[in-house]
Amino acid sequence: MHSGRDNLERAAQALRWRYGTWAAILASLWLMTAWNFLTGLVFLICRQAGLAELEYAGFALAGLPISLLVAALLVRRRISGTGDWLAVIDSHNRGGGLLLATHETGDFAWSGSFPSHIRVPEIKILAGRPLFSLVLSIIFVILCLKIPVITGQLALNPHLDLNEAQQKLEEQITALAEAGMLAPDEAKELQQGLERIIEGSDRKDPASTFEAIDQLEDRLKKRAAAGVHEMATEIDAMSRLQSLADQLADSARSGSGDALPTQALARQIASTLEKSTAGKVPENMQRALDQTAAGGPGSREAAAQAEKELREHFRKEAEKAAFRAERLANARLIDQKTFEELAKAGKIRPADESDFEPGADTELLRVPSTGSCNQGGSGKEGSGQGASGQQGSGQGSDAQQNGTALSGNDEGTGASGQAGRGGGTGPVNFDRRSSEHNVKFIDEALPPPNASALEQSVSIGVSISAPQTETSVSHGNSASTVWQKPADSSGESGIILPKHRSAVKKYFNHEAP
Amino acid sequence: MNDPKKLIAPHDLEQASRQAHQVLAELDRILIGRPALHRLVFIGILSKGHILLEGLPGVGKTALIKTLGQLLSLQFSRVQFTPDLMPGDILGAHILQQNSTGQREMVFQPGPVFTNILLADEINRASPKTQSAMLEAMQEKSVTLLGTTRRLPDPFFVLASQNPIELEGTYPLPEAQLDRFLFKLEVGAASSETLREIITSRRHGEPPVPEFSLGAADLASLFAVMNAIYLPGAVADYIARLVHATDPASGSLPQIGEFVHYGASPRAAIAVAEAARGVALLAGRPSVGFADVREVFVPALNHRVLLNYKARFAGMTSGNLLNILLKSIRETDLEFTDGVRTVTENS
Repeated sequence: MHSGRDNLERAAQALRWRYGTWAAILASLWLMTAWNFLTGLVFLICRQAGLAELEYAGFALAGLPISLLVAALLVRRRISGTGDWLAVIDSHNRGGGLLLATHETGDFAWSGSFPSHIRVPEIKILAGRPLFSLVLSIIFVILCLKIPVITGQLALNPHLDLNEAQQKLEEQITALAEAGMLAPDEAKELQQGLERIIEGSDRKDPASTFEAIDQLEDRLKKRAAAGVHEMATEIDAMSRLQSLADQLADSARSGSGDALPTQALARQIASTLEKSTAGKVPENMQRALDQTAAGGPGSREAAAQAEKELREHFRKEAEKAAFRAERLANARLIDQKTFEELAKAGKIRPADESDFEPGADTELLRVPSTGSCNQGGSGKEGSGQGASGQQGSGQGSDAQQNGTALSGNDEGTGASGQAGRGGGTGPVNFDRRSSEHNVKFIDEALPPPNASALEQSVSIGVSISAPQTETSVSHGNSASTVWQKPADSSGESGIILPKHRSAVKKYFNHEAP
Repeated sequence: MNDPKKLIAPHDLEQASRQAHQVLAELDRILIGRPALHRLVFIGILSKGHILLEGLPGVGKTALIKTLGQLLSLQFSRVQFTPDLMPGDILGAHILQQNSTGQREMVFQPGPVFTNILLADEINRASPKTQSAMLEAMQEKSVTLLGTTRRLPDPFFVLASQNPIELEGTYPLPEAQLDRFLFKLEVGAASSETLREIITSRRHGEPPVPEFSLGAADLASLFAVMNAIYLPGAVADYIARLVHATDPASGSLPQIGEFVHYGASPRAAIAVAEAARGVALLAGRPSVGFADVREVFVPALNHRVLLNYKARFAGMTSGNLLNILLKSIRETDLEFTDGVRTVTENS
């Protein structure tokens, strides 16, 4: 009797456990779906509201045990009766209600008629809908986490997001200061100005902020261009000094009796060196040059010593120039192409025609400018029309002039031969005025009219022969096209009238009866 | 034996089941070729229910009822219903008689309804007035005349027959009266083998004399065992869900909503439960099972579900609808969670 009761309870318990497990899993899928939709919505609202960015993964993982627990409790609450499970087992085993009756009455007199082996029915799962809903909810969560935040930052942060621009400008200021092209005080002032621009930015009025940033960037680039120009000038001066140093070495090495040329060379080198280094000539070199210029015994050795010192000086200056150029290039104050040229040749590449092509990314361009140029050691002024870098020689100059002109107007410093543009070194202006108000456009020579495209021409007649282009002086540069006079057998030239003109005229002139 | 918390003793049930099978075997021996019909009729008798047999003339309806009366040793009356039959012809009437003292008094002369088994032949030919006279007798098992109520003998069964053809001059039974029949069984045509056996073994169509009959005490014992058959709660719930599903407002099946005008009454649920007990008794089980319910569900309800005109146009019968219902309603209702089901053999 007891074994029959045990069998019944075991079978009911097995079915109950099996059913409850699957029901809990299925219910947890639904709960996870609801959890995902809920948390996804909350996260979307939080992100759009500009609240702190929360870690979603933690919430999602927390939802898993919660869903399972709640589902288990729900299922446990709903499937508590043994009778229901025995009904399923009775139906499955064709028990004829005997298992149920025995359980309900507690009378096991008929337990001998129980099936020898009570079979527990299988469980069938229809998880298509909950799985589909769960996938949908996961997609919803991903969308909630990936949708760009628009409103939140606008509501809570009225400033523009200028981190990248600020970082770039700070780097440029630092680079200019490290390259010695910007005084520390001025660098500090520019840094403060940049901070004021950032703090004063307003999403509702971004134009003035970007205008101020553009102006600051222009100013830094001009300063960099001026610095590069000075650097190039110094390198040119060094080249001349090197030439003089070679002559000095040759003169000292030749050992001719006339010491005057050697002395003159030494004086010229000393004078040039003093100007190029602003009086900071190394002591050993100065002494050797002075001794050479003074002549007398030992001047030859002094000349050799001066030549050696000069070469060492040139090497140090070249290294310093390379470092500065590299720093400027890294800070994107000069373009890479220019930097490579500079690093290779020790000079700034003169602009060529390709720089005027549309889309050219070089920032250092040559423009036809009438800016005045410094004549180096001669100190004479000449008109540097079309200052053409290496190949442009200034008129009235007795020394070869290598110069670089920057794009812009001609308000640059005449002493350095630079043609600048815009506000120059003036203070940053925060008004709404455009920075391009004083820009001069590059002149472009238009092609002659006869080279214009045929599709822009207008058909005025039909001929069997090719059109002729008149190149006579009387027509000037504007070559015109005339049509050959047709032969007798050729088609008619001139204006072709519609054939039905007479009919139309007749129609309109017709008098009403 | 009738303790609701105790199952019937195996010995008692075995004896009752053996007697029931003896009756069925004798019935099958006397009337050839309809064991299923005999089984259902006998289940109806065990359930103390009235049975309506529908079939063509000559298919053995009357013979079945007569033989059953002989086998059960019950009093048997037969009434051939005609349009001019009056209620008094069935229930009885008071007649003026002179007693021994010379006084005249009204004496009640019982009608044929005062019997154990009443064969109401071609019941649909009687007028509604006469048909309605049967209502009280069938349900209350009593007759009230001139303010006096008289109990009918126990047991009392009405085994009615009606002819589905020759409908002219007939009065279809009203729903209230149909509802009082436990089963409506259709008596179809006999098979050729059955016919061959009949004509070779029955001279002049006379059935053999029963060799066995159940005594009144045995019959009372059978009824007592029937009362002791246990109906489990889950099975009762199954019956309730099935009967409720016949209501077009229940939304159980689209076909039910479309074709059914009126569903089955609570009396139908009682009938199914009682008849299922009879099936369990024949099976020798002390409890009603789901399969027992399915066996008697269609005969118990096919005359209780009223179809609408759409069903006629669609050729849908109540039997077809009930079979669809049986297939769609699960025996156990364990749908706690949508999407998890138990795979039982009948699902």
